[in-house]
Amino acid sequence: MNKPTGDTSKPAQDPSGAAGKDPSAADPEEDFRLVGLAKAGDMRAYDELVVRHQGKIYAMIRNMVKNDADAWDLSQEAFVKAWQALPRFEARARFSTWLFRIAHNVVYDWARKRKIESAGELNDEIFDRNKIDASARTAPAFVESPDDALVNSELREKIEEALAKLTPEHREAVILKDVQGLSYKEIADVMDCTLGTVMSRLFYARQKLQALLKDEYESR
Amino acid sequence: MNTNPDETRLALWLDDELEGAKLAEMDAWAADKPDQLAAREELRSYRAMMVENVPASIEPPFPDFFLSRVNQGIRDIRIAEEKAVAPVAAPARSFWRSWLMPAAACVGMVFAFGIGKQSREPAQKLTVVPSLAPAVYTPEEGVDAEWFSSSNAGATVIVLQGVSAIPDSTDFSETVYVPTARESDRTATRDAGKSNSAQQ
Repeated sequence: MNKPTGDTSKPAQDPSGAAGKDPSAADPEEDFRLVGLAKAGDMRAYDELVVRHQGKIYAMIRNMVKNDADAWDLSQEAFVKAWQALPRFEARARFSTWLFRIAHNVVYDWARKRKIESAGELNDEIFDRNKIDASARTAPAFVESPDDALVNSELREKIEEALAKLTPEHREAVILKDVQGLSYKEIADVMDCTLGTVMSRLFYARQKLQALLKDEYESR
Repeated sequence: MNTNPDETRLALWLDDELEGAKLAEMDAWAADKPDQLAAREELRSYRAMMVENVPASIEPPFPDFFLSRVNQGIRDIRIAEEKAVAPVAAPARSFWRSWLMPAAACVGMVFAFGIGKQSREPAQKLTVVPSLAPAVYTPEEGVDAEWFSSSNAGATVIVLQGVSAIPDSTDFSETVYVPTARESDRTATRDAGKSNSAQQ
């Protein structure tokens, strides 16, 4: 397998910026306009939609599957599936929320294919950063540059470690709510569950995160 | 608000999702409840910490190649869909066509056989028309190649799947043909040829 080398992965926004600063989140009307063009067969419009949202989708999937190569492949799969489903997209929700839902399904389908799922719950062993899917179409190798190492603060590493200790459902709820800034209703749509389930997952996930990050909390 | 809010309303208030009249109602209810106000502040602090430290958006590595792969995936689906379209059903044959066509086919076969026997010309070689689409030849069985091109990036990438791992001990210099100075210098070769002919 040919492996492209080098790390070009970088935050697409200021790390201190909230999810709301993302240009795609700031202008959903532009998304709807591009969706209309893409539905009419304009591939350039779809390319623009991919470029506008690839950062969020890649970040969300990367946080879920915990390895870069699989996240890279799965993000592409999500955009291909979104293109297939585009005729069925109705502007009742934000395009980004709709994409998150597709990304969610892609990740869970991928997990099922690995056949390590048990009793309807995803087994966290499959979301192991060191286990790259052998069937991954391409596995880019990532070498952290000194600049990125500086950006990746100690706290960020601790948070990522703490997130990794959550169950996949709890982790996804936290990522969608506290990182991506989705509302409870949008998370319920993405995860295909009730509002109550979202609240319950968030409550327990945050409780566990607070326990794991207790020292960081107290020092703030 | 005289009565306690339900869990949903409380969770939405704690997460700053309420607006307008509902928010004002909840704020009035929580005004004399320092524990609830503290819980909301703690949640705000936690969310700020998450936003500061976990990026909501990360540009995928090799973004041009990423987009090229998405486009390739869409093209593959289009091709598969075109192939999946069922052929149009043939119209019902008339009585005359049902016996006339086999008879015409038999006459044609006899005619072709006769022509074939008369002509003794050697069979011409088949000419293979090269495909206009780029094709990547992989000599090793079981190796698939995918071809991607990005005019914007000015790059062409060939992804090989199924290639066995190359051992670290491989010396690539042994696999590369390096022409000698004599081979690479055309003038030298031509001069050498001239000198040979002069000697003869």
